[in-house]
Amino acid sequence: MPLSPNSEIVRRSHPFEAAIGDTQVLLDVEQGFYFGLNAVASRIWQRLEHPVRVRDLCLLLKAEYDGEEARIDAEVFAFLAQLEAQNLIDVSG
Amino acid sequence: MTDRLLCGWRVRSAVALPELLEWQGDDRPPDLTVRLGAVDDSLPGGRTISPWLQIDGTGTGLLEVPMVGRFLVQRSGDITIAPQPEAREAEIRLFLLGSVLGLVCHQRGLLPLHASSVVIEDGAVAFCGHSGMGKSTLALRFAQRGHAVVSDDVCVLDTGSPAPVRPSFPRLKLWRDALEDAALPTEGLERNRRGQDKFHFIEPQAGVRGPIPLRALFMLRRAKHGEQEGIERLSAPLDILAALETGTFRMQIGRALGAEKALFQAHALIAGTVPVYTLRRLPDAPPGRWLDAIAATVRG
Repeated sequence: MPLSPNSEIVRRSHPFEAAIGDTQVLLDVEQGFYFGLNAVASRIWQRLEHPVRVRDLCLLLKAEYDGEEARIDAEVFAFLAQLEAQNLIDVSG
Repeated sequence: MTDRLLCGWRVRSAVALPELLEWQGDDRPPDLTVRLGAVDDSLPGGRTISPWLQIDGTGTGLLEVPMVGRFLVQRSGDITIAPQPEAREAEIRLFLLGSVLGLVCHQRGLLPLHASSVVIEDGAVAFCGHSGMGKSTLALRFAQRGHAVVSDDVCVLDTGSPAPVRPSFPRLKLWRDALEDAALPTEGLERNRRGQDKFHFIEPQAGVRGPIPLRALFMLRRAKHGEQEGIERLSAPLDILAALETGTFRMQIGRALGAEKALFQAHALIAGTVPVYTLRRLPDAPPGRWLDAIAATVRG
């Protein structure tokens, strides 16, 4: 499903997770790959524990981090697209 | 026969295991019991994990090594060996203290690294790499400088925090040229396999009994054409995890036994707490060349 500001996102259950320094690492057992999340990505990942609309997620990040709004939007979309491609999230709406 | 010590376990074995230290602990029942007996050639309900290994739903493993014998390894710690008539004792011990030890670790949720290790600065320093990369030769060179040998081939770690090494035994498997380079005679040493120019050298220095912290890990690599030799610390978490996965002894057995989560947590714990380096060497680098640099790196 294409991502839009109205899409609702929730992360899939992911039992294999560990923190290594500032990086949150996920292991996808079925596909056999690791996924490393930096500090901002880890914050997004935490927030995706419960369903959230993309628009609200962007607003939240704009409140927490300095940066150009358009750039934050673009980076959030790019990151979510990556998570979706790796089957780490469910997208609806 | 006297009970022996292996990775903190009390071992009672019908096969003499001279490379293991003697058990000097309490009077607990044996953790591992090795018997000789009949073993069927197939495991009921067993899945084939590799050409030599089947594992059933209870986690029992059947290892069949051509010309050596069958090893039935139960989670309880009962190990039954049916040797082939032509098998030498050294060969049986080789697989018992190699493949079978790795299987026992996976059954018990421990992390076996494919590494030789020695004591440097009160901790274990492990040399991890594929066969032929010089793990045992490096350990020998450190042993000759007075460092105790913690493991050869399989270095066993607890998966709790902080992950300590459970010392295995001070035996090193060495090719004739590695022994000769180190000015050690091969006379009187047992051969690893029939017709193979590799020998079992038992380090005369006392081995290590109790658990010790893992101080550093060196991934042994061969410098490819045009690459510089040297020691480099891995810093990206995903690179460290990938190296640890490659360095885990028979990772696919751990997966088959459902130990994947414990292995991942153990890898992550090491990645977060223990420095991991690559040591890149030219194929013809003299074995003694990197000892000082390794020791200096460990001391920091």
